[in-house]
Amino acid sequence: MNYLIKRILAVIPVLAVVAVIVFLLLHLSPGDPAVIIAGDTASAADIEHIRHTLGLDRPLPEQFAGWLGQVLQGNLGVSVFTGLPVAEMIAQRVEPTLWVSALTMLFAVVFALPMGILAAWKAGTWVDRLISGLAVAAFSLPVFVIGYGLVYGFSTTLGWFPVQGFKSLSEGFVPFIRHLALPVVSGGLIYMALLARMTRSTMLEVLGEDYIRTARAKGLSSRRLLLRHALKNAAVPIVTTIGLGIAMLLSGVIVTESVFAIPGIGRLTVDSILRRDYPVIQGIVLVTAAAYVAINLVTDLLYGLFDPRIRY
Amino acid sequence: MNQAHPAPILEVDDLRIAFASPDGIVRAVDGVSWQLFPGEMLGIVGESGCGKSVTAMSVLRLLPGPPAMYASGAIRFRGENLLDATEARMRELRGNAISMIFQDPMTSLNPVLTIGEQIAEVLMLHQGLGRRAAWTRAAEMLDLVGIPDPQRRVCEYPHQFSGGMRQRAMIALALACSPAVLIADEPTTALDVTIQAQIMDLLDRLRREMGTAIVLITHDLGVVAESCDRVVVMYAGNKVEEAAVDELFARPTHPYTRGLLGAMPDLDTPVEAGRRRLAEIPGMVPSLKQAAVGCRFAPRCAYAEAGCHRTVPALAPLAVGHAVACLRAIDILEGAPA
Repeated sequence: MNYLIKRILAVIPVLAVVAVIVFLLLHLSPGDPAVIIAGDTASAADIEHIRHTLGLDRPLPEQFAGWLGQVLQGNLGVSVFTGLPVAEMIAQRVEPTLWVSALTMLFAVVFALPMGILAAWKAGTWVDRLISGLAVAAFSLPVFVIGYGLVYGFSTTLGWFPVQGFKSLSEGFVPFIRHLALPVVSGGLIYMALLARMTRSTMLEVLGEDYIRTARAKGLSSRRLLLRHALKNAAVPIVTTIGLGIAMLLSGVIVTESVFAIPGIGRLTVDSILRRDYPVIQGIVLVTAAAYVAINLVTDLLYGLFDPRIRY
Repeated sequence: MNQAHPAPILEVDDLRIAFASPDGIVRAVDGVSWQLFPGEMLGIVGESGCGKSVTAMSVLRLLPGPPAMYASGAIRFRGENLLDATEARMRELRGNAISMIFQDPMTSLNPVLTIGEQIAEVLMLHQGLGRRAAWTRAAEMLDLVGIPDPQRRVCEYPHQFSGGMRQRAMIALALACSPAVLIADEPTTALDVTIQAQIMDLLDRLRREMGTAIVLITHDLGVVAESCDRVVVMYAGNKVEEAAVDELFARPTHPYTRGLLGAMPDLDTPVEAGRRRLAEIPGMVPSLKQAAVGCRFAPRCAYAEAGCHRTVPALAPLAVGHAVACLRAIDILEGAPA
């Protein structure tokens, strides 16, 4: 319980630093933000107007206090390009991104754990070499190569899956999953490879421990030995890798969404950067950072669940 | 064997175990035989690398598969050769009819499972107990091995136990299914001296209460003298001497056994009387990669003659239950100088 409170309290300073950096994002970019936002064709009056509406003519601490007050109320500002509230724009794009990320990780974990456990258990045999070889191959191929390869094979040639786009779950499960299958597989292979190798090496280390010998001397079956005695000990590094994987996915999803034209946060990020839509960029960075912190918190809490020695 | 025994419960018969290593075959155990009778405690003594732990591990077939080879011999438990048993049959026996405790209690228990879970697990597996009954029995076992407040301790994790307490918990785990044979591989080596004595007392008490025969593997002759009925002395993969404990300490015959006894501190002689310097056995344990041409101990032996380097000594009976593998055994007993 103490551990839980400690971990949650530790999140506050991290979020504070994130807020300062996100706020300064606009001011750290070279030149006058108002000029940059206004673009090349703007008149002096336009620039002055932008400067005033964004509050850029006020002192920096005052600007920060005002901005933070708005953010804490859930107001992330207004897009200079569309004129829509940033929070609303992000909310509209969140669904595809969440689905792509969640299913990508699920795909990676569901395949990587058994592969890694099997490779460790059969270490040194052809099974191990096959799995490790596949993992290296999957790890070496960039998402866009795998993505376009899969599209060419399964969409263009075989016609089993749509080439691109996204269908919401509310439009039916089958179209939803058909649109997500290729993005999830092409984006997930690299995490699957990473996690499988991590699981293998951690399990291999654990299987050499004295308590595994004790467990064998008790007459346990291989299955129980692997899943109950070894896997639980290997859980902390594995959970760490999954957590890191999800964090990496927050940026990885940008590529996946671009390749498969999925209207998610990744696409919004790319579009906003191209449009120099600073309030939107700030909003995305803030939300992403908060998600990152939340994932880390969950990972930390899971450590305590798997390893009793961590519950101090 | 001073009295008539019933059939042995465990019999190791001309066991040879060789490991394939990158630079040749290592004969870790080179034709060792011994018998364990119901309810007795048999000590297997020798220095590191003599093959005593490998013998112990092979009884439960816990050695890794491909690199360990059972070249020949038999390990018979109640007449059944375990070297021929299927893996499924071995799983039935492990932790149930034959169990084992290990040297380092700090690393031998699973750190992420409670003590209760680890003990209850064998009971559910082998005795078919339900969860609740297994936990009740686990707490009883902790009580039996002298862990105070067992109801609370059963829910704790290994890191909440001290070293001695963990070894007690290991013993509780090993004896949970009332095995016929317990193999204790250096059970006290990693513990404080005071705790060592407590653990040995506990093992001695439990074998009397439960009738479990114990194979005690150790390099400590002091521990053997205190608790064992019979002793097997091993050197470089061979059995060099076997005798009842009293006989071995009264008439140690093999030069290696004599060397081990000479390396024991003698606490009975007062310091003023000029306590002698501890004797050591000169030289190193030989490489086990070549087949033996003479006595393995000959290069380190003060009694060695030319013949010792050419002839592998066979185990010969010296008295009832006392056998020695030494060409000069009779000379030594008759007081030949080193």
